[in-house]
Amino acid sequence: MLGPNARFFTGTEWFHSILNDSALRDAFVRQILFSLTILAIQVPLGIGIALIMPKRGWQASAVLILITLPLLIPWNVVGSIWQIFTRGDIGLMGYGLRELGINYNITRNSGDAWATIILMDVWHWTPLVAMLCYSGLRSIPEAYYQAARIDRASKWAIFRYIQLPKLTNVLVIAVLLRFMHSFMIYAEPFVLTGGGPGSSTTFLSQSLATMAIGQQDLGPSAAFSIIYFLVILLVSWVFYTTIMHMQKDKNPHGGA
Amino acid sequence: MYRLDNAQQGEKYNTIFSRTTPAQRRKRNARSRFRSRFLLGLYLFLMILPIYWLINMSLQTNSEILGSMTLWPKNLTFDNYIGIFTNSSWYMGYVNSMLYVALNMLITICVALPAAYASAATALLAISTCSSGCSPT
Repeated sequence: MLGPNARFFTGTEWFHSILNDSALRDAFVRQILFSLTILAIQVPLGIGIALIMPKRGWQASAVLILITLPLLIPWNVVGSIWQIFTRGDIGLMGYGLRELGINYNITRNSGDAWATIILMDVWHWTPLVAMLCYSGLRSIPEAYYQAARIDRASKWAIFRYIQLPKLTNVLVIAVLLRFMHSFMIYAEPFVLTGGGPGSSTTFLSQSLATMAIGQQDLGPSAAFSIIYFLVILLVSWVFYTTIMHMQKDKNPHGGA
Repeated sequence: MYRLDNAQQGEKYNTIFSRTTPAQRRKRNARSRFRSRFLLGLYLFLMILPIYWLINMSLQTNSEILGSMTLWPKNLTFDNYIGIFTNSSWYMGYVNSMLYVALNMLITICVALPAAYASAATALLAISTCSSGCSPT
């Protein structure tokens, strides 16, 4: 018989139970879906904003300052801002949508909750992508544009063959940062929806917190944490290596 | 002798071989400039809205927030700010945060500076000992 103080090695039991847990698997799928969605929105939007930002003068400084504002707001405050902003009775967006006749309620409808969380993340983090792209665009020498003008290149050609290749490095950083951040997202959805309605917006970090602190299932949550970390490491590594290899294939003399 | 510079004065584009007239080009440039400014302005406006709403609510009384939908504070009040700075249960949060940040900065710099120096020094050592025959990676 095993007493309460008896210690024994459980082997990979917790890992088996974690990998077979359907709630965690659902959270994982939601997490992947969330990260891919925000990347698909934020990266093109960030590039677009960086392209239309003024290049010099006081306007450039003013736009830079305004665009940076959301990045300076703490995560919890971002969640609170959007929680209030989307309330139907006192929030501007919730009230406006209700007045337009749209049935919008993030505590009842999981589609609305998802849309709001994605909108919130886009609002919060698109500036980061835009700033990175802006700095990348500024570092392109004027000679490239002059050459393009001599060739009478169209705007699209300039973007496709000059700006985008020169942006590759900052875009790799932007995608990696945004992927890692969004995969670890906790405070904002926690404050905004609390993971609800039901568990439709419960992401991995929140399931982990519920399991480790709420239910005190320490063994499974430790196994879960390790898997969580390994997934982020694996995805980032695969992405980075793939991009770097693609660049090497294009340019035999090394990095861009 | 024909001077290319004179022909191009005031023009961003090569005007000699171009089929469009300068006036057409200027008009097109102005239009695309206006469109990009408009889009940027729209984005900035939408981006500011949630922040504006936060400021708006911070300057209203609770009854005004909950009572009616007002786009700007009808009775401007700074009571909320006064409350934050006089109630210790509120402002101690800021004090704790600042203490944490100060300590964190101090420790991070103390640890990171020697580490950065060490890695830079070893990297230099590696470069200087590695002759041209030694391939990277």
